[in-house]
Amino acid sequence: MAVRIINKVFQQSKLLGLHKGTTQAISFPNSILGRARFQSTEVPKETRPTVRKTDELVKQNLAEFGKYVAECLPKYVQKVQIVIGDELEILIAPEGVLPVLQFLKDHHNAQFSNLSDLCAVDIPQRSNRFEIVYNLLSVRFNSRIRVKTYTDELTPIDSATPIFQAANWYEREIWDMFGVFFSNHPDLRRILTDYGFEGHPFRKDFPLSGYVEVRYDDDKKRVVVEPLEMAQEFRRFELSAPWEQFPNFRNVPPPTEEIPLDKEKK
Amino acid sequence: MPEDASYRKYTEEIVSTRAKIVQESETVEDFEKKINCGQAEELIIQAENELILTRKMLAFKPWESIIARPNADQWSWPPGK
Repeated sequence: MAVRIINKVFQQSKLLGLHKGTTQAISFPNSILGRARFQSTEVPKETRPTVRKTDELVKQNLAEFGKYVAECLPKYVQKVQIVIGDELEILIAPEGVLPVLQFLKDHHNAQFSNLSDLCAVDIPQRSNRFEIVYNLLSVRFNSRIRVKTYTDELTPIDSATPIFQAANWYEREIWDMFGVFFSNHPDLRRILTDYGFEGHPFRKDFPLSGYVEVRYDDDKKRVVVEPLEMAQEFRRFELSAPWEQFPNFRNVPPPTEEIPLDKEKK
Repeated sequence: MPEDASYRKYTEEIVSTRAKIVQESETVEDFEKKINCGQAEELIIQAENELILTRKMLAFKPWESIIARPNADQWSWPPGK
């Protein structure tokens, strides 16, 4: 069909006197043939305008790098996955925080010299309820990586401050908000909450209203802090809402893609 | 460090290729272009970092078999299922 149209255009251009020489006539169909050959081997392109497009080449590179990290550090890496198409995640044992971060920072092929973010997630259903997430940036290779590990309320996790100075305040924030203890941290104090605050507000079992009420007392002519009366204790952790937000996406699998690691199970 | 540790294998490869390029090339610009990973000063910093890392790796021993397996519910998402 396309060839026929081009032939027609070609004839018309001939009629109009646009066509000069025969080389052009040969080059036209050749280029189209070449394109058709490429299209047959390409993966189907995402055409929906509202869906984020991912580059297959980038993804492949990330998968290879994930395998490389897992091969170099088989003691610590539990799982490697790619999330939402082009975000590489390395899931490690909590003992491996320092070795993995040091490797990613100082190795020739990694050079993730920038800790762009460090945060925690509270998932009370799990036996190790806190996930600690490190987001690293490699300025040299223009690439990002996410390292995840886990802990519970009591187990301390190694502080990343000897490797990244940036971790100092982030870890204080996690300590303040979640109550995860970081061992060997130079200055582990609260950072966001008020003086005399008790509890860790980002935990899922922390009540939305807090435990205390702060108000101005006219008789005493000062601000008073009073304990709040709780009508009900917050015990159940229902992460899903009672109504269904996206019925069309009810059975969509999570956008994670695990990279198989070829390592011997000992 | 054991011979068959992947970290050692890859690092030796990188470092020896870079050293070879540096010895073979005439000028600084020449090996900068061949290595293609920044200027000579940056390459020196990278090599120093790798040296520090290698010394720390001897203590970490990352080539051993896995230290802790995750619980079955650890890396599943969404967590309820």
